Amino acid sequence: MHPPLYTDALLRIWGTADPPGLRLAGQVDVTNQAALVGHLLAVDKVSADVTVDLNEVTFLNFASLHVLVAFAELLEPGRRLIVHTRTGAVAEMLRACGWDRPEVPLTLLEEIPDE
Amino acid sequence: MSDPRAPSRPEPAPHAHHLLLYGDDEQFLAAALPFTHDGLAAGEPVFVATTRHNTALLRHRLGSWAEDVAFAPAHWYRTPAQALLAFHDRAHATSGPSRVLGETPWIGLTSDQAREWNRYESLLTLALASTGAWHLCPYDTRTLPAHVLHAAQLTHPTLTTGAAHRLNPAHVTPERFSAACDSVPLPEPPVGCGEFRFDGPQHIADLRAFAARLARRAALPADRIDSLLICVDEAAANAVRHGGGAGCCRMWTTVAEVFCEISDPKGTLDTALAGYLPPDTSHLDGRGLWIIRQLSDAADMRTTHHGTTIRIRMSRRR
Repeated sequence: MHPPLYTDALLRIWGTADPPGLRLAGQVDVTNQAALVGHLLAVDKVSADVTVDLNEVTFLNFASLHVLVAFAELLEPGRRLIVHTRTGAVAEMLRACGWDRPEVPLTLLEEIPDE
Repeated sequence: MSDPRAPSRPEPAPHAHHLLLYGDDEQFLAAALPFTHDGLAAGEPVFVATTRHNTALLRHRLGSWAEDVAFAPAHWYRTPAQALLAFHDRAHATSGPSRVLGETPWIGLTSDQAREWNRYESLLTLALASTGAWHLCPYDTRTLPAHVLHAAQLTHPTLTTGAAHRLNPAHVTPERFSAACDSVPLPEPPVGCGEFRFDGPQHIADLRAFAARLARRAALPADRIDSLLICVDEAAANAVRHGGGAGCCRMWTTVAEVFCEISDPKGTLDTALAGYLPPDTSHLDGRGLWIIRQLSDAADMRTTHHGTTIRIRMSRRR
């Protein structure tokens, strides 16, 4: 396995090549959201849709979700940001801000485990 | 049935948020029927979110016209913030005029809850201002307490009786009404409640862990804990970004609710309309506060000379 691109006490970020994107584990908050922005902008977004895997993320702050939406809206026409998550919280935030509308090029793939 | 060719939209149009006080089924129908029927006859989408009794009355009297009416699903009115978003989204998804018969479920609310629903009624006027939605809000004078009926007179710019509409001289602007709601002091947190002091962004992860621990102890369901943590994090980040950087979180529970309060002694948040209006209709940069109101069951936000307090409330009932 490749070493993470970024590590701190709360969060690790790995780059993924196929599909192009990022895989995160831990917690994203005000202390490390800038790292997410930086590594997101470095993803090769020309060739395909971009995937951000949040399956191992236990907390994603609202500002970081805003970043993901802003990034999705900067993608080339026809390209989408695919977000994987295991909590319903991301969907709830998207809905509250109207970011679940079809014109926002962000696809949320939820895999919520049973309690 | 009224004449569908008659002018159906009252003047002035921008204040299309009407109060209907009714004391019996006939008074309800005398206004609700022409409102609904004229909308349908003009090809406007009509949405009805009222009591079970009034829904049945209306369905019966509309006959086959009822097939073209969209009736609200169960639990439409979960919290004031979510109801406001739902009506706002409906209005924006419709191009051109539309009509809503919306009757807030007042029965069984505590005075705190009723105050927030009053505020929602007032703010609805702003949330709908740029849309073509016309809301008619029925209030049952037989069953509703005097304070609810009084507030209704302050929160609706227009009055409806039968098919007649007139400006409401008692209407108070939403900004003033909302500020008045905040003049009621918040009850003090109980002695011995959980307390966590934070100073700077590096403490916010520990603050979330503290809140999660107490929320689990209060048996809040996992998905509600996730929502609570987003709210707590946003309130604390707000204190760190815009306030003094340091603050205090207090947490306590009652039989019905989990309370989590973030106070920022140097906070200067303008709370009159903070986070109440959908981001696209508000000129304020209030997205973080909006998300707190949407994801919690209620949130009180106050600024005094002691700073800013954001008190987040989650219901323990499912």
